[in-house]
Amino acid sequence: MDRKYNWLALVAGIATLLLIVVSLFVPWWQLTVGDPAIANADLSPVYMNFGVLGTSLTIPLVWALNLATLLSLTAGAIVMLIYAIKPAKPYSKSLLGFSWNKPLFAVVLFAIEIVLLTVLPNAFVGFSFPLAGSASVQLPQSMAEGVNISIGVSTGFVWPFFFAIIVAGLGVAARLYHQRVAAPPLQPMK
Amino acid sequence: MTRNTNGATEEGIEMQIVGVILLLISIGTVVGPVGAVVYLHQDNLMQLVVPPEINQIINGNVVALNDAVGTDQSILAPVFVGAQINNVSRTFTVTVNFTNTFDYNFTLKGLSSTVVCADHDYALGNIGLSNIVEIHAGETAQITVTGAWTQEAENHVITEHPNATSINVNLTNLVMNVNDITIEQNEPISVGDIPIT
Repeated sequence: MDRKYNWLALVAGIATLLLIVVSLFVPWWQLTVGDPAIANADLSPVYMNFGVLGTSLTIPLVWALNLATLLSLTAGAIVMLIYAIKPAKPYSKSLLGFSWNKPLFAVVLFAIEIVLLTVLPNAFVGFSFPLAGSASVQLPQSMAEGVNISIGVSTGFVWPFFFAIIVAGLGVAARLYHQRVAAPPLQPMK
Repeated sequence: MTRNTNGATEEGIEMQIVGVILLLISIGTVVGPVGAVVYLHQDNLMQLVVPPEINQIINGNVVALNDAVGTDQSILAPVFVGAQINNVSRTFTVTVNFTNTFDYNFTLKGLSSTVVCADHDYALGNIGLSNIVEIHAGETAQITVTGAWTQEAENHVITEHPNATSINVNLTNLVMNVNDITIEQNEPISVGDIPIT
């Protein structure tokens, strides 16, 4: 059987490109403060929108990291597609090694970032957000100048995050399938 | 398979070129954006993580607050407008002005407090918000709260304020819910004189 393509890599590459486009418009994780919201944060590895009292905030370093992730994922997707149609070339393993783990890293690093975001405020200022769900967050007295303030907070993962997990899985599957695609064809016994 | 004068194969050279290209892509996709942003903010590296909009929000709203409310009041203190009393049902209605100094609409979902005689720190009754009130950005909205006083409160007024036409009251244990943000202030808030006849 002449295996000319790595179909899993082809699907993974296309899915990665689709994931990038979706992630630019739909966040992976959302944080809403108050109802109606007075502050909100929409996060994905390639995009962040943070607004307070109607003012949108841009953190330059985060913007740069988002752009770096966007370029890295895009490059990974394109290289994956190139590898997918030429899986048996001598350099194909390098192409695969460069590309298959990009979505996986994006998912893992994003998950770590969200966990830290919800846990670290408790260590520094005395309150924390739920990872997913609704809660009433009590601000420390030191922050509220003697007034008791509790804030309704709602957080949750949005569907692109779960799609990213699937894309990461496709990348891993493409990596595993490479061994079958790149194996030399069996020679008939004489 | 062809070899050049150094013995390297064409395939080997191809792999090396691909490896170099991929390495350059890996470095460039991260160093490029981060380096550019750091270079643009080299004069004030704090702005890398603290955007200038934060200072605008803080400074802008503090200035607006001071201009709109005055130095003796906090944003939590309503401004008394008027009151109505029904002696038969022992109920009263208090109307206050609340100014939204932010560039954002707020929704007042709940307001409750204990009305206390300021002179004797005697609880006269409780008040509560009648309806949810939307307070648009930069505007002042009238908020009406209703309440009732007790027989004990009536006795207090009769005995301690026999000929008074008004009584100085404070609001204590004030609880406000604005956009699902609950603010509880235990310090008494002066409302001023309200008519009792």
